[in-house]
Amino acid sequence: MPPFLYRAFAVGDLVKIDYYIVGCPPKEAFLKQIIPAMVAGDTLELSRKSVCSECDRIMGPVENWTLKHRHEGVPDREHCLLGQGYLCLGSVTFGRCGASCPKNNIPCHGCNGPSLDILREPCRDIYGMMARRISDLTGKPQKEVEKELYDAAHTMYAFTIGSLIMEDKENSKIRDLVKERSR
Amino acid sequence: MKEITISPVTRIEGHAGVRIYLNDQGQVDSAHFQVVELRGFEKFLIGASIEEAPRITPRICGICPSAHHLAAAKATDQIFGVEPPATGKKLRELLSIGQFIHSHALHFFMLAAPDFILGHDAPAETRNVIGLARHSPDLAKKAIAVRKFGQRLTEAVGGKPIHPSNAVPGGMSTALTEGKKAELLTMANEALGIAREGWDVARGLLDGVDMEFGAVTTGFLGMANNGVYSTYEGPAMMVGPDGGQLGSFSGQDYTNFIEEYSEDWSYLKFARFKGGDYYRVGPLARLNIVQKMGTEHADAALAEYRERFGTVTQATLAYNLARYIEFLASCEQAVQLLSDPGITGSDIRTPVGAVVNRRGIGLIEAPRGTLIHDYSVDENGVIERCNLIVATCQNNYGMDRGVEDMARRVVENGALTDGAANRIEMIIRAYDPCISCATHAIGRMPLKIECVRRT
Repeated sequence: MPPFLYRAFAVGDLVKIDYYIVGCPPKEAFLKQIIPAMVAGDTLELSRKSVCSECDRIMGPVENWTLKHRHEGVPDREHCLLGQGYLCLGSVTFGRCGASCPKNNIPCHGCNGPSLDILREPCRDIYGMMARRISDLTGKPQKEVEKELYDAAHTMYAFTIGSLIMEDKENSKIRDLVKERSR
Repeated sequence: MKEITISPVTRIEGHAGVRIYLNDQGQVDSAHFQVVELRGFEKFLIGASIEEAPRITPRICGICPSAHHLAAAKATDQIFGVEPPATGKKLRELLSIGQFIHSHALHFFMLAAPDFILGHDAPAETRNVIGLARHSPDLAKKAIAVRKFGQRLTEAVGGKPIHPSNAVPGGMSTALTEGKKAELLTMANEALGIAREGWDVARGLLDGVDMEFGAVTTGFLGMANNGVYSTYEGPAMMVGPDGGQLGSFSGQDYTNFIEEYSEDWSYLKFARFKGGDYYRVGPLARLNIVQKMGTEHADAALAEYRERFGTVTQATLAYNLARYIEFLASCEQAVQLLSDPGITGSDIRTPVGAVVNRRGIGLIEAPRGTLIHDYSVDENGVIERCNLIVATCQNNYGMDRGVEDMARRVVENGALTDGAANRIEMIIRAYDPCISCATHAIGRMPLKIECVRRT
C-alpha cells in the first residue's frame, strides 16, 4: 500500500494555474460563460465582486446584534442574514454563483473561495474581515465580535484550509519547496 | 515476479486497482480488489459544529451528494430532537428521488450500457458513452434528458444541482413554488415516458450473458418501509443468502448487527454482519428484500425480473437490471410527489434550539446502498466522534470475491486479454462502486489491474 504524504496541497500551490473557475462545484451559468470563450480564445470580463453583489436581501444598520449558530431559529427571507445574526460569508466570498444559498435562505458557506481583496492583500484573512464587516454592520467593537465567532476552521475556512492561500501569503513556504524540488 | 497491469479501470467513480496473484503454472492463485486512496472526512469532521455536517458531507462525492446531505440532516434532526413537518419531509424524499434518477441514469446508460450494447470485447476506445452515442444516438439523448431532470429536480428542491444546501436540522430551508412544481412535473412525466420505453432495451440487456460471472453468495441489507421499496424512511432489513429474515435496525442499534473491519491491502473498509457473515447492499439487495416497489410500472418490471432470477438472486450482473427498475420507480415516485398538492406547502421547517440528544444516526438508502451517518456531539453540538458507513465498504467483500472468481475464469497462462480485463471490470462496475465515498475515512478507482507471479 502506498504510504500517506505528510500533507495535502491544493493544485495551485504546486502548479501554475491559468484560470481559476471558482465554486464547489462551479456553477452551470458561469461555465456556460467561460468554456465557449476559452475554446474560442476570447478574453472575458468577469465579475470581481462578492456574493453580496448578487444577493437580493436588504442590508441596513442592526442594533442589539448577537451571533446565532446557523441552525438556530428560522431566518426571514427579506433581510441580510449576517444582520440577522447568522454567520453568512457572502461579503468575504467570491461571487458568480448568483448568491444561490442566501436566496434559498441558507447562509453562504464560502464555497467559491475568498473574495478578491482577501486574496490580494497579505494582511487580510477571512476571520479578520468577517469580524470587521460585522462590526461595521452592528456598531459592536471588533474585539467583542471576535469573541463571539465560533468554529473558525469549519465555518470560515471550510474551503480554504487545505490551501496555502490563507497561510503567510508573502512568505509562503511552498515557493521554497518548489525551488528545492526543481534543483 | 510477473505483473500484468490494466490501468485505469474505467467507468467507475474514483480510483481502484485489482491485483492478481499467479502460481508457477501461470494460473490464478488469488486476486484482490484494492483501494489506495484516503479522504479523511471522519477525522476532520471532529470539532465541527453538527449543523455543518449536512453542508460538509455532500463534498464526499459529486455523484451522490444528496444522499450524504440527507443522511446528515436526518442525524441532526435527532440531535436537536425535532421531526421535519409534512411538506419538509416530502421535499426531502423528493430530493432523494432526484438523486436516484440522476445517479442511476448515469450508471445504467453511460457507465454500464456500453458493455452490453457495444459488447464486452468491443475496443476500449469505443466502449464508452461516446461510442454509445454513435451507436445509439436516440438512447444517448434520452439518457441525457433523464439525467438532466434528476439534476434540475435536485437544484429546485436542494438549492444546487451538485452539493445541495437546503436540508437543515428540522426540515428544509425553502418551499417549492407552484410555478417550479408545474415545470418539474412536466419534466417528470417526460422522464417517466423515457424510463418506460427504456425498459424494452434494459430487459434484454443481459440476454446471453453468463449470470454466473462474479458469483458470490452473501446475505443482503436494505431499507424497506413495511415491505415497500423506500429510500428515505424505514428500517434497514437484514436477510440471509436465501432471503430469510435475520433482523432489522433503524438507529444506533446498527452496531448490534453490523461491524466494520479492515484488511492491510486496502484503505477501503469492509463491513459484515455481527457473527461474521457477509452481505451486500444496493439495487440487488433492495430488490431481494422488498415485497413490492409500490408503483405500477416498476412493480410490473419487478415481476418480470423475479420470473427470471427468482425472488432472491445472488447474480452480480443482475445489479444492472435491478438498478434500472429502481430508476423506473424513482421516475414514478417523482410524478406522484409532484402531483401531490401538499408538495408546495409552507410547513417545511421545525425551528430548533439546543442539543437534545448527544448522538444522532442518519440512516437512508443512497443509490449504491445503505448509508449510515453516526455522529456524537458535546453539549454545544460540536462533533466529538463520527462514523460514516457507505455502500461501497459494504460491497467490498462482494467485489473482492467477484474479482477473484472472474480472474479464475479469464486469466489464461498468466496472460490477460483486453476482453478479459474488461470482464473483471464489469464485475466491479455492476456494483457501481464509488471509491471517493468509500474512502472518506482514510482512502482511488480508475482501476489498475496487476497480475503478480508469486515466486
